[in-house]
Amino acid sequence: MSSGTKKRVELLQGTLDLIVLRTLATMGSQHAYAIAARLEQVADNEFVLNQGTLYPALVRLEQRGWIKGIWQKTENNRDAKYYTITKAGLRALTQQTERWQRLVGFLEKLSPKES
Amino acid sequence: MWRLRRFLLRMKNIVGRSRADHELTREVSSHLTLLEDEFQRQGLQPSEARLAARRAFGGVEQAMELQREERSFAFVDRIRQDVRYTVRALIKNPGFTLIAVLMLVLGIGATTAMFSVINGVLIRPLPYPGQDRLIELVHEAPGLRISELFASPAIYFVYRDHSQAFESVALWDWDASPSTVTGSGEPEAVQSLVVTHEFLSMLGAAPILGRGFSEADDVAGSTPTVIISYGYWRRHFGGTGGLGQTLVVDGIPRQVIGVLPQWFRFFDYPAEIFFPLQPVRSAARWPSFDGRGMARLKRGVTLEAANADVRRMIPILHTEFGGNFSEDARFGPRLRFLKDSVVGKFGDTLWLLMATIGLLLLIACVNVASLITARVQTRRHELAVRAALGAGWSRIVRLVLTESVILVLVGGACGLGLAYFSLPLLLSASAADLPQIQTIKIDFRVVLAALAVSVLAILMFTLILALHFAFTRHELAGALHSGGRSMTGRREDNRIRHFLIVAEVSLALVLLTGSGLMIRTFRTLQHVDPGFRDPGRVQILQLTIPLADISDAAQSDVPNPERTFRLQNAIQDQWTAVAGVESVGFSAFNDGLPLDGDGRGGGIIIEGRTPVTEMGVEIQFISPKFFETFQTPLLAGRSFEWKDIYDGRAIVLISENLARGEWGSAEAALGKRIGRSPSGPWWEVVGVVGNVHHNGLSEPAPKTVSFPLPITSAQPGIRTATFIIRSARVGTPGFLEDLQKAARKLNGNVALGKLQTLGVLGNVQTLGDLYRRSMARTSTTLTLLAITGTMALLLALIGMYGAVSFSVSQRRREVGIRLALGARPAELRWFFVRHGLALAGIGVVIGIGFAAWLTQLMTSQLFGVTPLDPTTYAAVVLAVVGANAVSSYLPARRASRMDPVEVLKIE
Repeated sequence: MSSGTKKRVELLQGTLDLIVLRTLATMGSQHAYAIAARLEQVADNEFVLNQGTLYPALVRLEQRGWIKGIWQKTENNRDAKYYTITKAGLRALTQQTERWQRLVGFLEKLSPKES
Repeated sequence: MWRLRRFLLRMKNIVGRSRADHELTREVSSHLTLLEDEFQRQGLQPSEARLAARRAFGGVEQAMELQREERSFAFVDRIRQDVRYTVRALIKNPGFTLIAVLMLVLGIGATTAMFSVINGVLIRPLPYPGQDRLIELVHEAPGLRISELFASPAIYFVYRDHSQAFESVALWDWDASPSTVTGSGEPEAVQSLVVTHEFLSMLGAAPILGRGFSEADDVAGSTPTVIISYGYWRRHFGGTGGLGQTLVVDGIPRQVIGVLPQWFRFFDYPAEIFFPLQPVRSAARWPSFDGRGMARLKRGVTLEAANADVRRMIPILHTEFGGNFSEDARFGPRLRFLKDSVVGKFGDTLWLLMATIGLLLLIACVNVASLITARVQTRRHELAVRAALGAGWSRIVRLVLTESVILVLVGGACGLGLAYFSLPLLLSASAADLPQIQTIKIDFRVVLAALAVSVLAILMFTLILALHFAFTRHELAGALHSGGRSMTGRREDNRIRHFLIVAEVSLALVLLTGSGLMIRTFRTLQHVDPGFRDPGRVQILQLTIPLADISDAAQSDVPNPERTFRLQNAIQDQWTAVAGVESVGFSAFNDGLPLDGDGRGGGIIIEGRTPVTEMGVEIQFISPKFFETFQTPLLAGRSFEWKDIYDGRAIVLISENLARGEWGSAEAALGKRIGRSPSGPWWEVVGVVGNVHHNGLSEPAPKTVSFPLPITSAQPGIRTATFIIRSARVGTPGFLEDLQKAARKLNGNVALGKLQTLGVLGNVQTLGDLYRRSMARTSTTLTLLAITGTMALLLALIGMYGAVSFSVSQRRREVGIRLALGARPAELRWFFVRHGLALAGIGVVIGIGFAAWLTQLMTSQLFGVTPLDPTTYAAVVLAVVGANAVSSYLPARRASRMDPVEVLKIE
């Protein structure tokens, strides 16, 4: 693995779960590709994601009972596994977001003011 | 909550691997399809779209692997792989696997079996409620060199009435001869125990039917009662009723008042009926020790406090019962927990054996470890390739570790099986008188122990392998260049192998030293003069004469002494006349039986001396021809005649050690008088006989005073007699039948048909049996030690042979070159043997050190030989060095016969 990939993974590590949850919360039921596409779109191609790296996050979230996957047909009649956020997932999202915001606020207070 | 959920799901996925993988593959390919669709929609060609989709997705395998790690526990997978690989490797190499597993099975199996014995005898508590407060009343008189004196009615009364440390005190006694039960049903011989009323409740044996003994039952003159065991109740009464019925026990009608629970046994003593001892205060004498005492400590009272309490009460004994010990006797308490009483000396023996077998296990482990390291050596090339291809060192170490874990687990499981099946054999080999033998079995503790032993073995391998890798790590890395060949064994490899050889030699030496010392002990014991000759030719049998045949009409419940002895005399004469019988004698009860450890201790007083009581003297009542039949030598004076007995003459025979101790020689004792209380009456010494060992060959023979059968009207006749019959026909078929027939020929006032139907011919054994049983502890220890010692030597030999063979094969090239350069085969052989001997030498030195230290623990097992016996050490060292020389010579000879051309060509 190149060091670039490593850096990217590090960047995403803490946030990927949160991003996936947020995406599903705002956009409703989605398959993995759609989630990845949405991420790229939102990120303005600022960071490039290997779409495959979503899968560990998905299985993690599903095992926690925060999302739920069901096989459905796409509009082009392809099979795809659609993920939906659950009630527990929504609760977790609220909690995690709050935590993130607290952390971000804390970091901002610590950071020296840039002119 | 979600953490638990996730954990459970991950656990679940350890098993449901293929389904989850299938699902994942489907999802990923769907993802790729969607991506492809998208790229095609953007105008790419299908083949370009597929590539673009792949690019956008990233590494498919990597993604899936990451998902798998999230989905389940990755290490489980890795372990699974390792196990699969290792099992395959082990199956491919059946020779190695078989030998390694066999050694482990042997080691672990033996250890487990031994531990289950230890567990049953030493570790598990006695099966009585609150057993940790039960003690046996034991005393000592170091001034008289007596380490063990038990209890008596006098002790019982005083301790019961005055003790502050005891909750309750009980007295019990047993007789090796069975009681005869008549009354309801067929007459039968039944083992009995005579107990005071506290006894059963102290052991927590509450009757399941009826009641226990009350204080009133324990008063002389009260209605005779009896409590029966569950087994006897089932057998005799069919398991229903029985209460209130009458059993005639030895002619006394006793009312059945209770049935004991099924679990209750008094250790291994097969008592089936229990009746009250009814001690009588006015008849109690002091000092005397004709019973066994037991007590339950009050809560929180220590053994020391109880000892102190007894010490306080000893003066009370003196004031209440008159007699006294001299100051010099230093009579005092030596209480011990009932558990320790039961286990006795066996504790030492068992731990010794356990340690022995533990050492054996260690040797087996060392062997397997050296096999494994040798295998690593030969696989060096493969391992180097793996390392070069990116397998981490940890991975390689893990493979080797997996191998040892699998070997140990298989070995452990089979070992447990071996223990399970060999335990009965082990027990029957050592059963002679192991306490609590019925309770020995494989329980969870034993399984746990087997597991612990296995884990220990794994830890040991880990240690050895870790050492090995620490030494050879960089060497291994270089193995690829040399193609796995080398001129000589690398020094680092050798170091660990040498260490293992030295360890094996020293361990084997320790074990063999132990066996050697036991062999010496056994031989010394065999040379002890037991006080009798040709035990195999002496038949011993007990005969209880029915009361009806020897009681007077006026007093039907008391045997008339003269009639009793005349009948026994007649039986003696009849049996003397049986073809092949040389001599017949008998004693009252089971008095005077050598080596049975069941004697009647008592005190005697010598006339004219300051009243010093000679304690711990064996008192026995005997018939004429008693010592003649044992062929115990008569050293001075004469022995008894029947006339002496019928005339009621006050004469005794004493043993040589008593005569020498008191009067300096056997002759000097003749005509002196001894008594049992300072006021007389006195008995005149008419003869001195040789010493007879009563409590085992390793114990000194007790001082003995033999009285003639007592025919005074003050004492009832003694219906139970132990006959001893010397004949070359002992043990041959038909002999016992001839004795029966001869007894039946008796005419007189006894119907001898009755003797037979009563079945009172009990306890038939030979003096040889007693002799063997006395040697049993030593011979059991010896047998087991010899077996383990031999196994140890064998394993060490195999290990050594393997190590030298391996080193020879590693140095094949060097040997080839040496041969090609003209080295003589003899020189080469010597070269290897010398090397082996040097290692053995180091092992011997270390081993002697350990043996000298460890055999100190054996001291209580040894007799007539010190733990540092030079002969034993010399023999063992010779054996180990010899074995080592042979096991290095064989591979060396093979090496020296190699054809140098062939060798160099192959290499």
